[in-house]
Amino acid sequence: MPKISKFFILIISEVFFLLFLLIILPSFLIKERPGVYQTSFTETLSLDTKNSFNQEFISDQNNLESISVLLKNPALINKSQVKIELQDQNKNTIRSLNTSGISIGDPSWINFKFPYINSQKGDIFIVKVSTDNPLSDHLYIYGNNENQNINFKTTYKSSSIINSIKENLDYRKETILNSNHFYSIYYLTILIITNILIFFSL
Amino acid sequence: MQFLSHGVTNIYDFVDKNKSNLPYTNIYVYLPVTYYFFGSVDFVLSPIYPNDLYTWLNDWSVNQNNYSNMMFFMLVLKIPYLIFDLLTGYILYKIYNNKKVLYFWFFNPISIYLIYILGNFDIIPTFLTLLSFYFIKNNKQFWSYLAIGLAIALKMYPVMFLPFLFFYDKKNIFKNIKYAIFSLVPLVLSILPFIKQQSFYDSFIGSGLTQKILEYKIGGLSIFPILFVFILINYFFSKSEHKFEIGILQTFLIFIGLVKFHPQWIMWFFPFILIFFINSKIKNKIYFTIFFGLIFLYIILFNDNYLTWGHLIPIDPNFINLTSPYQLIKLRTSIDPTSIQKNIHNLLLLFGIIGSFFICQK
Repeated sequence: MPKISKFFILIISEVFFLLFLLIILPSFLIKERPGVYQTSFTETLSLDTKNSFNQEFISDQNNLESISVLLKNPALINKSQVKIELQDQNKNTIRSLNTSGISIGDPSWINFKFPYINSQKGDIFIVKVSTDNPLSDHLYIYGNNENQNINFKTTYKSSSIINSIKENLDYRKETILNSNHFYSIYYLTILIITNILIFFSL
Repeated sequence: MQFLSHGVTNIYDFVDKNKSNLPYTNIYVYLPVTYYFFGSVDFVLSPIYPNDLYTWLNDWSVNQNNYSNMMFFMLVLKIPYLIFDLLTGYILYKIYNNKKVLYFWFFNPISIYLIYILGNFDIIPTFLTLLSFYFIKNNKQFWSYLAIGLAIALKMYPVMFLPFLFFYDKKNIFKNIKYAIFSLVPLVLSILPFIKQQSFYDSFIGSGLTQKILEYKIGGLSIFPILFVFILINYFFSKSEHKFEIGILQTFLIFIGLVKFHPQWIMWFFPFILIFFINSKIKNKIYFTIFFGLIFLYIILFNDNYLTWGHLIPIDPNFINLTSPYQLIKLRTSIDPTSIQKNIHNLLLLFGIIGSFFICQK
C-alpha cells in the first residue's frame, strides 16, 4: 500500500476514534446531566423532628430527573427514617422518598432518582427534608445556619438524541474554553508531531 | 508524592501524625522507595504541571471530577509510565529480537488498559523484573538480582519471580547463591531507617498480597503455594528454550484463578506471556482470548463504578452516574452479581489449571 494511503487511513482512524470517544459515546450513553445545584456549605445542621429543611430552587433545564441532598450520620449509628420530598411551588408533594439512617454515610449524598417530570426551565420546586429522629445532633444535613439553605444537586434527562448531542457539544466547548490554553496547544502539538513522525517512519 | 517537595522525608510518621488534617484519611501503604521515587518525579515534572493540579490532587469533595484541566492532569501524571512503557518495549525487543513483539506490546488493548487507563505504577516494577530476566538470559547475574531487588523495593510481588531467576540455569546455581543476596539489598537498605517505627508497620496492615495468595484453601491447606511448588519443580527439570516464560505463564494462570486479584496485577506477568499470543497456534490464541474475556467479565462485575464507567470521567464526569454492570444485574434480575463473579472466577481457575498443565507442557 502506498505511504500516502496508509497515512490517510491512520488519520481517518484517529479522527474517528476521537469523535467516537468525545462525541458519539457520551451523546448516546449520558442521558442524565447535572442541573441547578448548591454544594458550597460546609456547616452541619442538626436534622431532627424539630428541624426539617425546605430548599427552594428554580429549575434551569426541562425534565427534572433527580435530587440529592448531603447528609451526615456520625459513625453510621443513627437508624431513623428520613423523608425527602419534591414539592411544587404550591407545596404539593410530587415525589417522595423514605430512607433510613442505614443508607446514610458519614457523610454521603443521598440520591433520589425518579421517572423524569415533564417540567420546564424556570419552574419552581422545593426540596423538603424531614426525619422521625427525636434526638438533636445525631443526624445532620449540610447547610447554612443563617438562612437555613441546604446543599443539593439536581439532574435532568435529555429529551432526545439531538438534544443529547447538542448538550454534549456545549459541554465540550465549555471545557475547551475553561481549560488552560497553553496545555491545549501543547496537547495538539504533541498529536501533530507524533503524526508527522509516523508519516516519515511509514 | 507532593510531600517530598515540602521536605517530608518520613511519610509514615507524617501521615500518622497528620491523619486528621489530610484531605484523604487513608494511610500510605507503599514501601519507602516508591515514595522517594515518585517524590523525585514530582519535583522534576512540577515545572510543567497545570497550576491547579495540586488543588485537584487534594480535592476529595464532590467537585473532584469537575476540573477542566483533567485531561492535562492525566497527561502529565502518566509521563513516567510512558517512559517505562517505552523502556519495556525496548527490552522486549532486545530479548526476542522480533518487531511483532514490540508492536504487540505497544498497541494491544491490555497493555493500554493496564498502564494508561488503570494508571497504577506497576509498570515500573514490571519493567525492572523484565530487565532482570534480560540480564539473567545474558549471564549477568549481579545486574539481574540488583534489578529485581529494585523492583522488590518498590513493590513486594517480584519476590515470586526470584525462584525462576535462581533456577534459570542449573549450571550457574553457585554463582546465583553468590549474587542472590543483592535482590534483597535495596529493600533492606531502604526500610532500615523505618524498622523501629510502629507507623511503618501500621501502613501495611490489611494491604497484604500474602493473605490473598493464601486465602484459597482446601481442607485447611492453601492451594496456591502447593501448585507454585509443582510449577517450580516442572521449571527446574524443563529443557524448553522458553522455560522462564512458561513458568511465569503457569504461575499467572493459577494466580488468576486462585487469588482475588486486582486488575492491575495482570501487568506483573503480561510482558512475559505475550510471546505466547504471538508465536502460538490458533487454538492457543482462542484459549487466551477466552481466558482474557473471562477476566474482563470478572473485572466489570466488581461493585465499583470506577472500574467501569469511571474510567471515562476525564471525557465527561457524568459517566460516573451511569449504571454499572453490577447495579444493572442487581436491579433488572433476581441474580446476585457477586455469585456470577464467583462462578466466573471458578471458571478461570478451571481454565487456568487446564492451560497450565496442557498448553504449557507443549
